[in-house]
Amino acid sequence: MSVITVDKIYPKFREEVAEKFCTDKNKFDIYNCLACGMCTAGCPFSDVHEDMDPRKFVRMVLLGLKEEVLNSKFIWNCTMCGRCTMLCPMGVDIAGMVRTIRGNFGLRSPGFLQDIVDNQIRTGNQMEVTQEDYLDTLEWIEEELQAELDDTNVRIPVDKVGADFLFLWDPREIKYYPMDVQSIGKIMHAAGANWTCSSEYWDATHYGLFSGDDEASRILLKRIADQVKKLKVKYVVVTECGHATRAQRWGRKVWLTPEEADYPVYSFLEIQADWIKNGIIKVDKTKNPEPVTYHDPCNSARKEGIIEEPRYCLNQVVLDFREMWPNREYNYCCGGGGGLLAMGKEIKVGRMAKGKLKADQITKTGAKIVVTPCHNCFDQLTDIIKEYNLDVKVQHVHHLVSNALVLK
Amino acid sequence: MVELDKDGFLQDPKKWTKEIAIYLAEQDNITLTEKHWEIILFIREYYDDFDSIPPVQKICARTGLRVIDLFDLFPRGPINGACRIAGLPSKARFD
Repeated sequence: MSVITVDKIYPKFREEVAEKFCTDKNKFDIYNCLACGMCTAGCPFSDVHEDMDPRKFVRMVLLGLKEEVLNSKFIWNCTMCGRCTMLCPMGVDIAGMVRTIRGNFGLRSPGFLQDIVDNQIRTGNQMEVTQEDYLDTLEWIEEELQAELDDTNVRIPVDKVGADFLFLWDPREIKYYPMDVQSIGKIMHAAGANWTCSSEYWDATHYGLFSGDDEASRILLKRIADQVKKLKVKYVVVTECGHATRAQRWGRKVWLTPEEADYPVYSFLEIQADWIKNGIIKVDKTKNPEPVTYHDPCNSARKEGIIEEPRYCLNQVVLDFREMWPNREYNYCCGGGGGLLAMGKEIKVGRMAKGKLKADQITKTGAKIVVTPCHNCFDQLTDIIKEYNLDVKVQHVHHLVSNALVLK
Repeated sequence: MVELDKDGFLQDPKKWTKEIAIYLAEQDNITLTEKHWEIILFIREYYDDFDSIPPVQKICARTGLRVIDLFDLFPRGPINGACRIAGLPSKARFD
Protein backbone atom coordinates (compact mmCIF):
# COMPACT_ATOMS: atom_id res chain seq x y z
CA MET A 1 0.00 0.00 0.00
CA SER A 2 1.25 3.48 -0.78
CA VAL A 3 0.55 6.68 1.08
CA ILE A 4 -0.53 9.89 -0.62
CA THR A 5 0.68 12.97 1.25
CA VAL A 6 -1.28 16.23 1.11
CA ASP A 7 1.65 18.24 -0.25
CA LYS A 8 1.59 16.13 -3.41
CA ILE A 9 -1.99 17.04 -4.17
CA TYR A 10 -2.84 19.87 -6.54
CA PRO A 11 -6.66 20.05 -6.49
CA LYS A 12 -6.90 22.43 -9.45
CA PHE A 13 -5.43 19.83 -11.82
CA ARG A 14 -8.85 18.48 -12.79
CA GLU A 15 -9.99 21.98 -13.74
CA GLU A 16 -6.86 22.50 -15.84
CA VAL A 17 -7.56 19.24 -17.67
CA ALA A 18 -11.26 20.00 -18.16
CA GLU A 19 -10.56 23.50 -19.48
CA LYS A 20 -8.13 22.20 -22.08
CA PHE A 21 -10.27 19.19 -22.98
CA CYS A 22 -10.97 18.95 -26.69
CA THR A 23 -14.40 17.36 -27.09
CA ASP A 24 -17.76 17.75 -28.79
CA LYS A 25 -19.42 16.77 -25.50
CA ASN A 26 -19.33 18.37 -22.05
CA LYS A 27 -15.77 19.11 -20.92
CA PHE A 28 -16.69 18.54 -17.28
CA ASP A 29 -17.99 14.98 -17.75
CA ILE A 30 -14.61 13.77 -16.48
CA TYR A 31 -15.75 14.77 -12.96
CA ASN A 32 -18.50 12.11 -13.14
CA CYS A 33 -16.22 9.16 -12.34
CA LEU A 34 -17.66 6.83 -9.70
CA ALA A 35 -14.47 4.77 -9.39
CA CYS A 36 -16.47 1.68 -10.38
CA GLY A 37 -13.64 0.15 -12.41
CA MET A 38 -15.59 -0.68 -15.57
CA CYS A 39 -12.79 1.05 -17.52
CA THR A 40 -10.09 -1.23 -16.16
CA ALA A 41 -12.32 -4.27 -16.66
CA GLY A 42 -12.94 -3.18 -20.25
CA CYS A 43 -9.31 -2.37 -21.08
CA PRO A 44 -7.94 -5.33 -23.04
CA PHE A 45 -4.44 -4.64 -21.73
CA SER A 46 -4.95 -3.91 -18.01
CA ASP A 47 -3.58 -7.32 -17.06
CA VAL A 48 -1.15 -7.67 -19.97
CA HIS A 49 1.63 -5.46 -18.64
CA GLU A 50 2.46 -2.91 -15.90
CA ASP A 51 1.26 0.70 -15.88
CA MET A 52 -1.90 -0.05 -17.81
CA ASP A 53 -4.73 0.76 -15.39
CA PRO A 54 -7.21 3.40 -16.59
CA ARG A 55 -9.10 3.60 -13.30
CA LYS A 56 -5.95 4.51 -11.39
CA PHE A 57 -5.20 7.12 -14.03
CA VAL A 58 -8.64 8.76 -13.79
CA ARG A 59 -8.53 8.76 -9.98
CA MET A 60 -5.06 10.33 -10.01
CA VAL A 61 -6.26 13.12 -12.29
CA LEU A 62 -9.37 13.81 -10.20
CA LEU A 63 -7.44 13.70 -6.94
CA GLY A 64 -4.89 16.19 -8.26
CA LEU A 65 -1.76 14.04 -8.39
CA LYS A 66 -0.43 16.22 -11.19
CA GLU A 67 3.25 15.31 -11.05
CA GLU A 68 2.53 11.58 -10.94
CA VAL A 69 0.17 11.79 -13.88
CA LEU A 70 2.56 13.85 -16.01
CA ASN A 71 5.40 11.42 -15.28
CA SER A 72 3.29 8.28 -15.59
CA LYS A 73 4.03 5.62 -18.16
CA PHE A 74 0.31 5.02 -18.59
CA ILE A 75 -0.28 8.08 -20.77
CA TRP A 76 2.14 6.70 -23.38
CA ASN A 77 1.27 3.00 -22.91
CA CYS A 78 -2.41 3.69 -23.59
CA THR A 79 -3.44 3.18 -27.24
CA MET A 80 -6.47 5.45 -26.75
CA CYS A 81 -8.55 2.64 -28.23
CA GLY A 82 -11.58 3.87 -26.29
CA ARG A 83 -12.92 0.53 -25.07
CA CYS A 84 -12.89 1.92 -21.51
CA THR A 85 -14.60 5.08 -22.71
CA MET A 86 -17.34 3.11 -24.49
CA LEU A 87 -18.01 1.04 -21.36
CA CYS A 88 -17.96 3.89 -18.80
CA PRO A 89 -21.50 4.23 -17.43
CA MET A 90 -20.88 7.89 -16.57
CA GLY A 91 -19.60 9.10 -19.93
CA VAL A 92 -16.03 9.78 -18.84
CA ASP A 93 -13.91 10.07 -21.99
CA ILE A 94 -10.74 8.44 -20.70
CA ALA A 95 -9.08 8.21 -24.11
CA GLY A 96 -9.74 11.94 -24.48
CA MET A 97 -8.19 12.63 -21.08
CA VAL A 98 -5.03 10.84 -22.19
CA ARG A 99 -4.91 12.95 -25.33
CA THR A 100 -5.49 16.18 -23.39
CA ILE A 101 -2.68 15.43 -20.95
CA ARG A 102 -0.24 14.35 -23.65
CA GLY A 103 -0.69 17.59 -25.54
CA ASN A 104 -1.31 20.39 -23.05
CA PHE A 105 1.25 20.12 -20.26
CA GLY A 106 4.58 20.63 -22.00
CA LEU A 107 5.35 16.91 -22.37
CA ARG A 108 7.36 15.47 -25.22
CA SER A 109 6.33 12.07 -26.53
CA PRO A 110 8.77 9.15 -26.59
CA GLY A 111 10.20 8.20 -29.98
CA PHE A 112 9.44 10.36 -33.00
CA LEU A 113 5.72 11.07 -32.68
CA GLN A 114 6.32 14.82 -32.38
CA ASP A 115 8.71 14.78 -35.37
CA ILE A 116 5.91 13.36 -37.52
CA VAL A 117 3.56 16.18 -36.51
CA ASP A 118 6.32 18.75 -37.19
CA ASN A 119 7.08 17.17 -40.59
CA GLN A 120 3.47 17.37 -41.60
CA ILE A 121 3.10 20.99 -40.54
CA ARG A 122 6.32 21.92 -42.35
CA THR A 123 5.99 19.91 -45.58
CA GLY A 124 2.25 19.27 -45.88
CA ASN A 125 2.53 15.52 -45.36
CA GLN A 126 3.98 13.36 -42.62
CA MET A 127 6.52 11.56 -44.83
CA GLU A 128 7.92 14.71 -46.43
CA VAL A 129 7.06 13.55 -49.95
CA THR A 130 7.81 16.45 -52.30
CA GLN A 131 5.03 17.71 -54.55
CA GLU A 132 7.07 16.61 -57.57
CA ASP A 133 7.45 13.03 -56.25
CA TYR A 134 3.76 12.90 -55.33
CA LEU A 135 2.57 14.04 -58.76
CA ASP A 136 5.10 11.77 -60.51
CA THR A 137 3.75 8.82 -58.54
CA LEU A 138 0.13 9.55 -59.47
CA GLU A 139 1.06 9.99 -63.12
CA TRP A 140 3.13 6.83 -63.14
CA ILE A 141 0.36 4.76 -61.53
CA GLU A 142 -2.13 6.23 -63.99
CA GLU A 143 0.05 4.83 -66.79
CA GLU A 144 0.31 1.47 -64.98
CA LEU A 145 -3.47 1.37 -64.69
CA GLN A 146 -3.93 2.21 -68.36
CA ALA A 147 -1.62 -0.69 -69.20
CA GLU A 148 -3.32 -3.06 -66.73
CA LEU A 149 -6.82 -2.28 -68.02
CA ASP A 150 -5.73 -1.76 -71.62
CA ASP A 151 -7.61 1.53 -71.69
CA THR A 152 -5.96 4.90 -72.29
CA ASN A 153 -8.96 6.73 -70.82
CA VAL A 154 -8.20 5.70 -67.23
CA ARG A 155 -7.38 8.78 -65.14
CA ILE A 156 -6.21 9.66 -61.66
CA PRO A 157 -7.56 13.22 -61.68
CA VAL A 158 -5.68 16.00 -59.88
CA ASP A 159 -7.22 19.38 -58.97
CA LYS A 160 -10.40 18.72 -60.95
CA VAL A 161 -12.67 21.58 -59.89
CA GLY A 162 -16.30 20.55 -59.34
CA ALA A 163 -15.64 16.81 -58.92
CA ASP A 164 -18.07 14.98 -56.62
CA PHE A 165 -15.45 14.27 -54.00
CA LEU A 166 -11.88 14.94 -52.90
CA PHE A 167 -9.93 11.77 -52.10
CA LEU A 168 -7.29 11.95 -49.36
CA TRP A 169 -4.32 9.54 -49.29
CA ASP A 170 -2.08 8.11 -46.64
CA PRO A 171 1.50 9.13 -47.65
CA ARG A 172 2.57 5.50 -47.16
CA GLU A 173 0.45 4.65 -50.17
CA ILE A 174 2.18 7.30 -52.25
CA LYS A 175 5.72 6.63 -51.06
CA TYR A 176 5.96 2.92 -50.30
CA TYR A 177 2.81 1.17 -51.51
CA PRO A 178 1.98 2.63 -54.92
CA MET A 179 0.14 -0.61 -55.74
CA ASP A 180 -2.43 0.58 -53.18
CA VAL A 181 -2.90 3.68 -55.32
CA GLN A 182 -3.35 1.38 -58.31
CA SER A 183 -5.88 -0.81 -56.45
CA ILE A 184 -7.92 2.22 -55.36
CA GLY A 185 -7.65 3.85 -58.80
CA LYS A 186 -8.96 0.66 -60.39
CA ILE A 187 -12.06 0.68 -58.16
CA MET A 188 -12.66 4.38 -58.91
CA HIS A 189 -12.43 3.64 -62.63
CA ALA A 190 -14.78 0.65 -62.41
CA ALA A 191 -17.34 2.81 -60.61
CA GLY A 192 -16.98 5.67 -63.08
CA ALA A 193 -16.37 7.96 -60.09
CA ASN A 194 -16.20 11.71 -60.57
CA TRP A 195 -13.34 12.21 -58.13
CA THR A 196 -10.20 14.24 -57.67
CA CYS A 197 -6.98 14.37 -55.69
CA SER A 198 -5.44 17.64 -54.54
CA SER A 199 -1.95 18.62 -55.69
CA GLU A 200 -1.44 20.75 -52.61
CA TYR A 201 -2.75 19.11 -49.42
CA TRP A 202 -3.62 15.47 -49.87
CA ASP A 203 -2.48 13.77 -46.64
CA ALA A 204 -5.41 12.33 -44.66
CA THR A 205 -3.27 11.31 -41.70
CA HIS A 206 -3.18 13.38 -38.58
CA TYR A 207 -0.70 12.63 -35.79
CA GLY A 208 -1.95 15.61 -33.82
CA LEU A 209 -4.77 13.26 -32.88
CA PHE A 210 -2.18 11.16 -31.03
CA SER A 211 0.12 13.89 -29.69
CA GLY A 212 -2.77 15.99 -28.38
CA ASP A 213 -1.45 19.13 -30.08
CA ASP A 214 -4.70 21.02 -30.82
CA GLU A 215 -2.93 23.94 -32.43
CA ALA A 216 -1.29 21.64 -34.99
CA SER A 217 -4.54 19.74 -35.42
CA ARG A 218 -6.41 22.90 -36.36
CA ILE A 219 -3.78 23.90 -38.93
CA LEU A 220 -3.82 20.44 -40.52
CA LEU A 221 -7.59 20.23 -40.75
CA LYS A 222 -8.04 23.79 -41.97
CA ARG A 223 -5.78 22.95 -44.92
CA ILE A 224 -8.19 20.19 -45.96
CA ALA A 225 -11.24 22.41 -45.44
CA ASP A 226 -9.60 24.99 -47.72
CA GLN A 227 -9.04 22.36 -50.44
CA VAL A 228 -12.74 21.43 -50.26
CA LYS A 229 -13.69 25.06 -50.94
CA LYS A 230 -11.01 25.57 -53.58
CA LEU A 231 -11.92 22.46 -55.57
CA LYS A 232 -15.67 22.97 -55.02
CA VAL A 233 -16.26 19.29 -54.19
CA LYS A 234 -19.40 18.02 -52.46
CA TYR A 235 -17.69 15.76 -49.94
CA VAL A 236 -14.39 14.24 -48.79
CA VAL A 237 -13.47 10.54 -48.95
CA VAL A 238 -10.67 9.27 -46.72
CA THR A 239 -8.57 6.29 -47.73
CA GLU A 240 -8.66 3.13 -45.59
CA CYS A 241 -7.05 4.55 -42.47
CA GLY A 242 -8.64 4.48 -39.00
CA HIS A 243 -7.17 7.49 -37.24
CA ALA A 244 -7.36 9.59 -40.41
CA THR A 245 -11.07 8.85 -40.72
CA ARG A 246 -11.55 9.85 -37.09
CA ALA A 247 -9.49 13.03 -37.42
CA GLN A 248 -11.10 14.15 -40.66
CA ARG A 249 -14.63 13.45 -39.44
CA TRP A 250 -14.76 14.10 -35.68
CA GLY A 251 -11.97 16.66 -35.97
CA ARG A 252 -14.18 18.98 -38.02
CA LYS A 253 -16.48 19.37 -35.00
CA VAL A 254 -13.73 20.28 -32.55
CA TRP A 255 -10.99 22.06 -34.50
CA LEU A 256 -12.99 23.98 -37.10
CA THR A 257 -15.86 26.46 -36.92
CA PRO A 258 -19.24 25.17 -38.20
CA GLU A 259 -18.86 27.36 -41.34
CA GLU A 260 -15.40 25.95 -42.08
CA ALA A 261 -16.57 22.38 -41.42
CA ASP A 262 -19.54 22.54 -43.74
CA TYR A 263 -18.79 19.36 -45.74
CA PRO A 264 -19.46 15.63 -45.20
CA VAL A 265 -16.61 13.17 -44.77
CA TYR A 266 -16.85 9.47 -45.65
CA SER A 267 -14.50 6.56 -45.34
CA PHE A 268 -13.65 4.75 -48.57
CA LEU A 269 -15.18 1.69 -46.85
CA GLU A 270 -18.62 3.30 -46.93
CA ILE A 271 -18.19 4.27 -50.58
CA GLN A 272 -17.14 0.76 -51.63
CA ALA A 273 -20.08 -0.82 -49.75
CA ASP A 274 -22.47 1.62 -51.40
CA TRP A 275 -21.07 0.94 -54.87
CA ILE A 276 -21.34 -2.84 -54.44
CA LYS A 277 -24.84 -2.65 -52.95
CA ASN A 278 -26.16 -0.44 -55.74
CA GLY A 279 -24.55 -2.46 -58.51
CA ILE A 280 -22.25 0.42 -59.49
CA ILE A 281 -19.35 -2.01 -59.36
CA LYS A 282 -19.70 -5.75 -60.06
CA VAL A 283 -17.72 -8.28 -58.07
CA ASP A 284 -17.04 -11.99 -58.18
CA LYS A 285 -16.29 -13.54 -54.80
CA THR A 286 -14.75 -16.69 -56.27
CA LYS A 287 -11.68 -14.56 -57.06
CA ASN A 288 -10.86 -14.54 -53.32
CA PRO A 289 -11.17 -18.16 -52.14
CA GLU A 290 -8.86 -18.03 -49.08
CA PRO A 291 -10.36 -17.76 -45.57
CA VAL A 292 -10.43 -14.15 -44.42
CA THR A 293 -10.92 -12.51 -41.02
CA TYR A 294 -11.44 -8.84 -40.22
CA HIS A 295 -9.75 -6.65 -37.61
CA ASP A 296 -11.83 -3.58 -36.65
CA PRO A 297 -9.63 -0.49 -36.24
CA CYS A 298 -10.72 1.23 -33.01
CA ASN A 299 -10.94 4.64 -34.63
CA SER A 300 -13.19 3.62 -37.50
CA ALA A 301 -15.32 1.03 -35.64
CA ARG A 302 -15.66 1.97 -31.98
CA LYS A 303 -15.32 5.72 -32.44
CA GLU A 304 -16.78 6.36 -35.90
CA GLY A 305 -19.27 3.48 -36.10
CA ILE A 306 -18.07 2.12 -39.45
CA ILE A 307 -18.77 -1.50 -38.58
CA GLU A 308 -21.15 -3.20 -40.99
CA GLU A 309 -19.91 -1.58 -44.23
CA PRO A 310 -16.56 -3.44 -44.34
CA ARG A 311 -18.34 -6.68 -43.43
CA TYR A 312 -20.82 -6.13 -46.23
CA CYS A 313 -17.92 -5.62 -48.67
CA LEU A 314 -16.07 -8.71 -47.48
CA ASN A 315 -19.14 -10.94 -47.62
CA GLN A 316 -19.60 -9.85 -51.24
CA VAL A 317 -15.99 -10.29 -52.34
CA VAL A 318 -14.64 -13.33 -50.47
CA LEU A 319 -15.89 -16.92 -50.29
CA ASP A 320 -14.98 -17.64 -46.67
CA PHE A 321 -15.35 -14.79 -44.16
CA ARG A 322 -14.81 -15.60 -40.48
CA GLU A 323 -15.33 -13.25 -37.52
CA MET A 324 -12.72 -13.10 -34.79
CA TRP A 325 -14.06 -12.81 -31.26
CA PRO A 326 -14.74 -10.36 -29.74
CA ASN A 327 -15.53 -8.22 -32.76
CA ARG A 328 -17.20 -5.03 -33.95
CA GLU A 329 -17.22 -2.30 -31.26
CA TYR A 330 -16.04 -4.83 -28.68
CA ASN A 331 -12.95 -5.73 -30.68
CA TYR A 332 -9.54 -5.61 -28.99
CA CYS A 333 -7.12 -2.95 -30.14
CA CYS A 334 -4.19 -4.48 -32.05
CA GLY A 335 -1.80 -2.63 -29.72
CA GLY A 336 -0.58 -0.20 -32.38
CA GLY A 337 -3.08 2.61 -31.77
CA GLY A 338 -2.54 5.99 -30.13
CA GLY A 339 0.64 6.67 -32.09
CA LEU A 340 2.52 3.84 -30.32
CA LEU A 341 4.07 2.72 -33.59
CA ALA A 342 5.97 6.00 -33.68
CA MET A 343 7.17 5.85 -30.08
CA GLY A 344 10.32 3.82 -30.60
CA LYS A 345 11.93 0.78 -29.06
CA GLU A 346 11.04 1.26 -25.39
CA ILE A 347 7.33 1.26 -26.15
CA LYS A 348 7.70 -1.65 -28.56
CA VAL A 349 8.11 -4.19 -25.75
CA GLY A 350 4.64 -3.40 -24.39
CA ARG A 351 3.26 -3.08 -27.92
CA MET A 352 4.27 -6.65 -28.71
CA ALA A 353 2.93 -7.91 -25.36
CA LYS A 354 -0.40 -6.29 -26.24
CA GLY A 355 -0.25 -7.86 -29.69
CA LYS A 356 -0.37 -11.37 -28.23
CA LEU A 357 -4.13 -10.98 -27.70
CA LYS A 358 -4.59 -10.16 -31.36
CA ALA A 359 -2.29 -13.01 -32.44
CA ASP A 360 -4.47 -15.45 -30.50
CA GLN A 361 -7.70 -13.98 -31.89
CA ILE A 362 -6.42 -14.34 -35.46
CA THR A 363 -5.06 -17.84 -34.95
CA LYS A 364 -8.38 -19.11 -33.60
CA THR A 365 -10.18 -18.13 -36.82
CA GLY A 366 -7.86 -20.26 -38.96
CA ALA A 367 -7.92 -17.46 -41.55
CA LYS A 368 -5.05 -17.00 -44.01
CA ILE A 369 -5.70 -13.31 -44.59
CA VAL A 370 -6.39 -10.70 -41.92
CA VAL A 371 -8.01 -7.64 -43.40
CA THR A 372 -7.87 -4.23 -41.78
CA PRO A 373 -8.70 -0.82 -43.26
CA CYS A 374 -5.96 1.02 -41.36
CA HIS A 375 -2.25 1.62 -41.93
CA ASN A 376 -1.30 1.71 -38.25
CA CYS A 377 -3.13 -1.59 -37.63
CA PHE A 378 -1.50 -2.91 -40.83
CA ASP A 379 2.02 -2.25 -39.50
CA GLN A 380 1.21 -3.57 -36.04
CA LEU A 381 -0.36 -6.74 -37.50
CA THR A 382 2.75 -7.19 -39.67
CA ASP A 383 4.92 -6.94 -36.54
CA ILE A 384 2.60 -9.36 -34.69
CA ILE A 385 2.78 -11.91 -37.52
CA LYS A 386 6.57 -11.78 -37.37
CA GLU A 387 6.80 -11.85 -33.57
CA TYR A 388 4.40 -14.76 -33.11
CA ASN A 389 5.18 -16.63 -36.37
CA LEU A 390 1.65 -16.59 -37.76
CA ASP A 391 0.94 -18.04 -41.19
CA VAL A 392 -1.21 -15.10 -42.27
CA LYS A 393 -0.90 -12.07 -44.52
CA VAL A 394 -2.38 -8.59 -44.02
CA GLN A 395 -4.49 -6.79 -46.59
CA HIS A 396 -6.83 -3.83 -46.87
CA VAL A 397 -10.48 -4.17 -47.91
CA HIS A 398 -9.81 -2.47 -51.26
CA HIS A 399 -7.20 -5.10 -52.17
CA LEU A 400 -9.87 -7.80 -52.07
CA VAL A 401 -12.51 -5.60 -53.71
CA SER A 402 -10.25 -4.65 -56.61
CA ASN A 403 -9.16 -8.26 -57.00
CA ALA A 404 -12.82 -9.34 -57.25
CA LEU A 405 -13.83 -6.63 -59.74
CA VAL A 406 -15.66 -7.75 -62.86
CA LEU A 407 -14.93 -5.20 -65.56
CA LYS A 408 -17.09 -4.87 -68.62
CA MET B 1 29.39 -11.33 -37.63
CA VAL B 2 27.26 -8.16 -37.39
CA GLU B 3 25.15 -6.59 -34.67
CA LEU B 4 21.47 -6.29 -35.54
CA ASP B 5 18.66 -4.60 -33.66
CA LYS B 6 15.46 -6.38 -32.64
CA ASP B 7 13.90 -5.76 -36.06
CA GLY B 8 16.93 -7.19 -37.89
CA PHE B 9 18.31 -3.81 -38.99
CA LEU B 10 22.01 -2.93 -38.62
CA GLN B 11 22.87 -1.45 -35.22
CA ASP B 12 25.48 0.76 -36.85
CA PRO B 13 24.65 1.54 -40.51
CA LYS B 14 28.19 2.85 -41.06
CA LYS B 15 29.48 -0.72 -40.80
CA TRP B 16 27.57 -1.83 -43.91
CA THR B 17 29.53 -3.81 -46.50
CA LYS B 18 28.50 -5.85 -49.52
CA GLU B 19 29.22 -9.03 -47.57
CA ILE B 20 26.80 -7.91 -44.88
CA ALA B 21 24.16 -7.23 -47.55
CA ILE B 22 24.59 -10.80 -48.81
CA TYR B 23 24.21 -12.09 -45.26
CA LEU B 24 21.07 -10.00 -44.60
CA ALA B 25 19.58 -11.10 -47.92
CA GLU B 26 20.14 -14.75 -47.03
CA GLN B 27 17.98 -14.20 -43.94
CA ASP B 28 15.13 -13.34 -46.32
CA ASN B 29 16.02 -16.30 -48.59
CA ILE B 30 17.19 -13.94 -51.32
CA THR B 31 20.18 -14.57 -53.57
CA LEU B 32 21.29 -11.14 -54.71
CA THR B 33 21.31 -10.60 -58.47
CA GLU B 34 22.50 -7.63 -60.50
CA LYS B 35 19.00 -6.11 -60.34
CA HIS B 36 18.97 -6.42 -56.54
CA TRP B 37 22.32 -4.63 -56.35
CA GLU B 38 21.13 -1.85 -58.61
CA ILE B 39 18.24 -1.18 -56.21
CA ILE B 40 20.33 -1.52 -53.06
CA LEU B 41 23.01 0.85 -54.28
CA PHE B 42 20.44 3.37 -55.48
CA ILE B 43 18.70 3.34 -52.09
CA ARG B 44 22.03 3.93 -50.34
CA GLU B 45 22.99 6.72 -52.70
CA TYR B 46 19.59 8.42 -52.27
CA TYR B 47 19.75 8.05 -48.51
CA ASP B 48 23.22 9.65 -48.43
CA ASP B 49 21.99 12.58 -50.51
CA PHE B 50 18.59 13.23 -48.94
CA ASP B 51 18.70 11.49 -45.55
CA SER B 52 15.46 9.77 -46.51
CA ILE B 53 14.26 6.60 -48.24
CA PRO B 54 13.47 7.08 -51.94
CA PRO B 55 9.81 6.78 -52.95
CA VAL B 56 9.06 3.50 -54.73
CA GLN B 57 8.27 5.57 -57.83
CA LYS B 58 11.90 6.78 -57.87
CA ILE B 59 13.25 3.24 -57.46
CA CYS B 60 11.10 2.01 -60.34
CA ALA B 61 11.89 4.98 -62.56
CA ARG B 62 15.61 4.47 -62.01
CA THR B 63 15.64 0.72 -62.55
CA GLY B 64 12.86 0.41 -65.12
CA LEU B 65 11.02 -2.06 -62.89
CA ARG B 66 7.31 -2.31 -62.19
CA VAL B 67 6.09 -2.32 -58.59
CA ILE B 68 5.17 -5.94 -58.80
CA ASP B 69 8.71 -6.81 -59.94
CA LEU B 70 10.12 -4.94 -56.97
CA PHE B 71 8.03 -7.06 -54.61
CA ASP B 72 9.13 -10.21 -56.46
CA LEU B 73 12.75 -9.22 -55.86
CA PHE B 74 12.18 -8.17 -52.23
CA PRO B 75 9.14 -10.09 -50.96
CA ARG B 76 9.20 -8.23 -47.62
CA GLY B 77 8.74 -4.95 -49.45
CA PRO B 78 10.82 -1.85 -49.98
CA ILE B 79 11.35 -1.02 -46.29
CA ASN B 80 11.75 -4.28 -44.37
CA GLY B 81 13.26 -5.92 -47.44
CA ALA B 82 15.34 -3.63 -49.65
CA CYS B 83 16.20 -0.90 -47.12
CA ARG B 84 17.17 -3.40 -44.45
CA ILE B 85 19.54 -5.20 -46.81
CA ALA B 86 20.88 -1.82 -47.96
CA GLY B 87 21.94 -1.21 -44.35
CA LEU B 88 19.67 1.73 -43.54
CA PRO B 89 18.83 2.28 -39.86
CA SER B 90 15.42 1.07 -38.70
CA LYS B 91 14.57 4.65 -37.74
CA ALA B 92 14.46 5.38 -41.46
CA ARG B 93 11.27 3.32 -41.63
CA PHE B 94 9.29 6.28 -40.43
CA ASP B 95 11.07 9.21 -41.99
